[in-house]
Amino acid sequence: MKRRNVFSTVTIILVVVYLLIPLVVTAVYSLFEKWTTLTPERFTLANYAALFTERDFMMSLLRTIIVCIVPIVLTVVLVLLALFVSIIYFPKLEKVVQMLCMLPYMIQGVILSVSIISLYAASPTLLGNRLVMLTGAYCIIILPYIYQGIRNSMHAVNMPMLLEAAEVLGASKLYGFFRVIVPNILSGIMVSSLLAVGIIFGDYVLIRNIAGTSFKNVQIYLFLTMKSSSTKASAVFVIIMITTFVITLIMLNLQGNEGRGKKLKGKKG
Amino acid sequence: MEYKTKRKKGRSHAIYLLAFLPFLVVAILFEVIPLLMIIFNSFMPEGSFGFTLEHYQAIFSRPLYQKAILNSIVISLLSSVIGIVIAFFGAMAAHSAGEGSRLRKAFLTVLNMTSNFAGVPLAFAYMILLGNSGLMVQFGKEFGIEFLANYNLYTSAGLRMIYVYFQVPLATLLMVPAFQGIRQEWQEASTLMGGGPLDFWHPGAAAQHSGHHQCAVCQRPGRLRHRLRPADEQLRPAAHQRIGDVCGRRHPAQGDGRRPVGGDDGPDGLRHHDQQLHRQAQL
Repeated sequence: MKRRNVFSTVTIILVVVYLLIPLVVTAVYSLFEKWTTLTPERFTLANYAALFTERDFMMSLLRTIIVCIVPIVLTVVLVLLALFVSIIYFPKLEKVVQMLCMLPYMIQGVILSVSIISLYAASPTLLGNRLVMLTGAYCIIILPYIYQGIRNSMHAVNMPMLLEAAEVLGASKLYGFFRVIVPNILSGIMVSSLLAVGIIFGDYVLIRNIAGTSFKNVQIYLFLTMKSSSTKASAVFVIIMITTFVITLIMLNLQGNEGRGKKLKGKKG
Repeated sequence: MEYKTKRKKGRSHAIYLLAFLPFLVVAILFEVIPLLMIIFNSFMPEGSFGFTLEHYQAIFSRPLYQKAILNSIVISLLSSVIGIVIAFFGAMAAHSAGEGSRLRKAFLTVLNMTSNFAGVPLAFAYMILLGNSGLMVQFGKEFGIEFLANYNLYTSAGLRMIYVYFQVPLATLLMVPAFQGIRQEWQEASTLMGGGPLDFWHPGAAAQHSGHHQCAVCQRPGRLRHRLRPADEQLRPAAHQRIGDVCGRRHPAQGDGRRPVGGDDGPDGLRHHDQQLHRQAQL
């Protein structure tokens, strides 16, 4: 038994080291002026100071945040409305919603962006706007994750029973859905939204194809900086990684809380 | 989830379809139409209207496209195979580290975090590490390590390495639950019957080298032909476990005179052993 444990400990440590080396090395690299010998030389925070005072970078950060929030809020609202109507009034529509929501799993970013561009780029209407196209494309890309998250948590709270209870107590269906069900599945919505944030935050292909370099997000900023200064780029890299990790941590925490909540419910029932 | 309402009359609910509309509009504009257009266009001749398969012919006949498809297949196969081997050992280690151990928790957190690490940032990190003037390359030059000093990231091997990196966390995370399905008891049963740790994971690996398994009847050394299954374990007492499992010969005790089927654990082999068990129980 002991030997097995040593074996597993060593394997885990090896894999963790393998996974962390690129991250740690780049992070250290961003904190020093020079690293050509065994040890890095001259600690400095100048890279970060320069970044945070640079308008260009702050704008790209802001754009990334906007381009994250708008499609996610939009998708959550659309999916909630569609599920409300289809589950309660038109059960036959449920299959349609499911199909439309799961289909994007198979669509690659390149394919979606190229086809959207070729369709609408010449359009004089609102659809011709690059940002509208980008938002639409992001909505589609994150659709499966949002849908799955909402469906799963509806399942977890036993939605039919809750709705019935609300109706027995005199609430209308509309009230029951949006004031009883939605608050109950909020943590599930949060988890899937954060997953979507992770996806959009890490996106390079869609924004590059649809908006080009005129609408820079942090990924494009990193790509452009990489060519000019590697130390500055590594500072951008660290900021991106920290943001992604914070998102992941919050998500894991929320998931953990949800699990605990379910266990408690199980004990009571 | 089925929530059925007693529908009075369809018309009174029609107003709710308005709430469904926004979803439909977005899905049709940015999902359905683009997909359909791509499919239609693929059959459309260049610059005119009609039906043609020439684009498909071009893809499968022009060397440039062929090379591209081949490259994609090769790099995805190779990198997944390597990635899955690493992930297998990682998941196995996570499994044997124990459910609640801190090491396992830390490991899973690292996996979860690095699973988002892909694309431009990943490529950049590898360029810092192993690019033309990357750190490892510098170290290699400094200490005279040929392999590192001459390493070229900008080759298909370098690309493959980056692909492997980003497959490992996801593959491991997906494999951990599979390992949870393997129960401790099976492993103990395997040990009780004289199997080493290797036997449990790969039937016969140790036996081939040591001749350590013997047929319970003829005492001939050989390899275990069946991996233990939960059903086997309950059905058969340990002493009868290896009749026919090891030497693959017919023994009187086997009764029905059939040879155990094949080297692997096909359904036929199992049935054979179950019959044999019943006979023994009757005796």
